[in-house]
Amino acid sequence: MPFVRNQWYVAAYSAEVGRSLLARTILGEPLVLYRTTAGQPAALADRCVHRHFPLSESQLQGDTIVCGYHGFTYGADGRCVAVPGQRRIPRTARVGAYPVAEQDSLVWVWIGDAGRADPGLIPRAPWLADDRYATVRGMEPLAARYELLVDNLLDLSHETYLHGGYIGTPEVADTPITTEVDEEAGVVRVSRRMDDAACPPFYAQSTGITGRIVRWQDIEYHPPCLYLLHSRVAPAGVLPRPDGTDPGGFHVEVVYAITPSTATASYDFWAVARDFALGDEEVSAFLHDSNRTVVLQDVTALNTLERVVAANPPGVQELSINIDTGGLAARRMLARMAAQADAAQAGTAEAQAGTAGAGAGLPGAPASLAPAAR
Amino acid sequence: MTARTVTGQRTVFRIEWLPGTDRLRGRCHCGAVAEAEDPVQMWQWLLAHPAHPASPAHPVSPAQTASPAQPGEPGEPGEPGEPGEPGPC
Repeated sequence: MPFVRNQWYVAAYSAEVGRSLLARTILGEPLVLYRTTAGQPAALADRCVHRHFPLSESQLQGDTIVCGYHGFTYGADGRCVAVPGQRRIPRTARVGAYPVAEQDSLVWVWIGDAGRADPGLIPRAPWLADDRYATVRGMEPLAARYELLVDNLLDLSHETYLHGGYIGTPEVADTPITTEVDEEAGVVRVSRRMDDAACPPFYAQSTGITGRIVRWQDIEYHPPCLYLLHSRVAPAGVLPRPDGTDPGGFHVEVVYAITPSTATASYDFWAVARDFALGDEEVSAFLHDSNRTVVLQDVTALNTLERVVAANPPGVQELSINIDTGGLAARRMLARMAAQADAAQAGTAEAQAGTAGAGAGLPGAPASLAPAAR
Repeated sequence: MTARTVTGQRTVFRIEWLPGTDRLRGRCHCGAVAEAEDPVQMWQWLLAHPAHPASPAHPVSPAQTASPAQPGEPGEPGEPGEPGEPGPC
């Protein structure tokens, strides 16, 4: 499946973007991220326009990056403000500047046509920046295409087999799911409600529940990047009150940002926000270590699967069963979004070609000879 | 994402896995309901809206589709990435 352009992607946690240079490759585009002296995150193409030296391996001076090879200097808008040994700065001396937005402790970048970037489109994960929740988080690089992680997260029955002893119990795979595709919201929802389940160590040790539990898993996937798992556990028989309050429940908001890096590599951002044991550092450490272990189990499995999938002959068949209902919906939505973005890009390119041809009077001229490229 | 706008109701497709069985029940936002044992067939039936075939076991054909599907729209036979279409992922 191709990348889905013209979308917001999580590039980093807010805490990762500071007064040093951070390299990330998103949808095949190398980026360098940093924070200006005013505190605003910035994202530039990570290649000096001169000899393509990585700006992420250069120096941050004030709000500018000074290329570590020959000193080309770029502002946060990507414009070159200084070159070595001469006063004239070539008009085309600039690197791409990406639209950036910071929300819910996440730094999002827009990959695609910058004119279409609307921060209002960014889905929310408010628990990550809410004092009423305690959050642990991390990021694991994945040597696998992002679609494998989407498949993984949309079908949690794998918890029973891959994550036994941490978050998996027999009831997860045994419990039927309900799947919804909300076309207007652009969301896939998968719900699994377990009325009487064993309590896995992840929840037993963090909540103190010793017996069987009610366990609800309500997934919201906002393709392409944001995945939310609303997890509720409570002692068996304890349900929310009719008025919607839920003093007997323990709520965990599990957030994943699925960011494609290259065709066969991805960033697996993960966070676990809870509304209990807020000041308990021991619980925080336990949940961090447990969830990281679970994520690394996924990483190991998906890295293996990537090698298998990459070696598959063309046209090889898969088999889908009931547990895949949500994953199939997600694939379809991603494919449609990719096709729409590609169509929009083709339309823009066509329009630009028409305009450039009329304006420059050089239809068919090699790009290197076009006025804008001199 | 382009939505199928239906005045007065949300365009939600829903598939329930019926407890105690292997069967799936699909419910379209238009009110149409069908059952199947294969999620691929169930999605194909749902996404054929408004021209739902009589049974999920008989996927919609182009001739049955009341309005032509747009490129990239669900319900278009052979659409890349359509639910159930085998692929690398």
